[in-house]
Amino acid sequence: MPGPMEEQLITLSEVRKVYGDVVALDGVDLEIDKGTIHGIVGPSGAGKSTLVRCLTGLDQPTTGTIEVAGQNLSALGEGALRQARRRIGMVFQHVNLLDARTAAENIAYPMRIAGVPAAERRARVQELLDLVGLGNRGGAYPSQLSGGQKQRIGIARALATDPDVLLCDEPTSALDAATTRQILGLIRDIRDRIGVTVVIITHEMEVVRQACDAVSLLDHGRVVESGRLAAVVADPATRLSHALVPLPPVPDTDKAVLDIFFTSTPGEPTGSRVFDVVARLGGDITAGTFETLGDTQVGRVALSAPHHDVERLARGLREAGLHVEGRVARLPQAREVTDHG
Amino acid sequence: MDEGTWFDNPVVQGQLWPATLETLGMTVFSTLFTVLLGLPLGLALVATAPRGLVPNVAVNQVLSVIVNIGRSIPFIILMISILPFTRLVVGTTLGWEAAVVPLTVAAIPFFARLVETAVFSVEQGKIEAAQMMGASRFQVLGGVLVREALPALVQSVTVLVITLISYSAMAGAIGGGGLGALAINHGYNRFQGDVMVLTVVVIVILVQAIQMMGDMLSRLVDHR
Repeated sequence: MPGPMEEQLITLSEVRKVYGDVVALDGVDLEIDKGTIHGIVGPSGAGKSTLVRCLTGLDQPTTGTIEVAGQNLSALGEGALRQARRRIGMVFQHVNLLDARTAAENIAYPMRIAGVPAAERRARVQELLDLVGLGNRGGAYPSQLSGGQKQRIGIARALATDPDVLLCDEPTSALDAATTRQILGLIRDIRDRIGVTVVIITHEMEVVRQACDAVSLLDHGRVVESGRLAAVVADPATRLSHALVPLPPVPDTDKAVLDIFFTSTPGEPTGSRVFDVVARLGGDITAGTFETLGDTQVGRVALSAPHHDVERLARGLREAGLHVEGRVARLPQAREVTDHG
Repeated sequence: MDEGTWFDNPVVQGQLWPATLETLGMTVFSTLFTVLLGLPLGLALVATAPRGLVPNVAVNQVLSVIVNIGRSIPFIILMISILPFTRLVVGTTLGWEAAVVPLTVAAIPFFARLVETAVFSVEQGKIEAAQMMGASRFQVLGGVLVREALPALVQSVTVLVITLISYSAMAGAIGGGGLGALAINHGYNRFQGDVMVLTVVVIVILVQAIQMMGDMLSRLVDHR
């Protein structure tokens, strides 16, 4: 695993992109470490698609710089940009394989464009087919492959020119849950084996939880949160931690609901301590979740209590070192009990 | 006056086969030249379109207007009005060889539109994928646009060939020869109903055969 002092492969500074009077990117600063799998999440309209187009050089930022592997993309002419794009392998949501070519020909296509000799191409195609676990399907046309198999071929194609970066734009959004797990497992496996840096653009938190080492939250054209997955998840003040560890549905109630957030490390009895505190203070646990992401354990518990008792409970829980927020359930007069950490 | 009818008719015996060959000659050569000139024109229409490979509103508009003018002139009028051009190219205005010129001129804008429609149906994502691999515009044009649109392009050529057969019958009316001339000179002007019917039958068979071959070929290159 790369340490915190790892060198950056991709650096965006102050990237702005304006279409007419629509500001798609509003000063994006982002650093992506070499060899990591970095997720970029955000609601639709946050600027994810624009960010992809800028990262690939298909679009130029209005201002700001994008550096990939030490090259400033906006400073390149068209020929040099075409060369630079071969350093970025792109995986698409809808795969975009060419229907008129077989799986093997699709994987070979970027090498043809790059002028790789035929014999070398053939050997590399077989190597890549094996890497994605489809060694015997090279002769199949895309229409003869399942959605997951197509995406495997898409990944093999993206790796054909041995890029520094594998840029995946919603790679699993068109796939079912089981296939998503397989594809994300494959991406992690490939990173471990060949050390390629992976950027995954997605709107699915599940993808970040399953595959990413680091994550950035894009909103209104800016990176508003960013960091290693474990660190982000462990910080209850972040929006990402709440989105990555969602509380199960809390039943409708006329009582006030407190949202308790706590983190722990394996071996530490934090969970039982939470229950001790709740047992001492009173209140009714109505929903909860607890899970381990990497080296961090994260738990969330919804606690129902009468309105007049909320202040006392919140104070008691915070004194016990827990992060507590008020949740409003059908009660317009209820207010946030505490502000973020 | 003891001339036979149907297959005993000396006109049918002596002229139906040569006329069929002339029609085929006109069709084959005009198809060839039309594809040669109309395909690039169609691709140029796609490439210069607003979201195309080399967006250029001015060029796109000019090409589009030229194509529209070409398509709106009735064939029979176009054929007569370019007679001097035909003479310049072929040296004569009579015979099936001469008819190839107006047929080609009339079919180019028609085919260019068919090509435009076929190529436009290739998904933008495939083009972007190729661009991401560092493909040049020319590589995208040949390796992605034409190759992916091939089944539709084969269908377009089929439509073109059949259209040219029917146009060639019109060309026959003013000195072009072929089945159209036979039908008009004997079937119509000399009231030989048998010649008229047989000519039409041959044309129907030609059209059927070409449509079948086109469909087969299109399926052969279609891997969607």
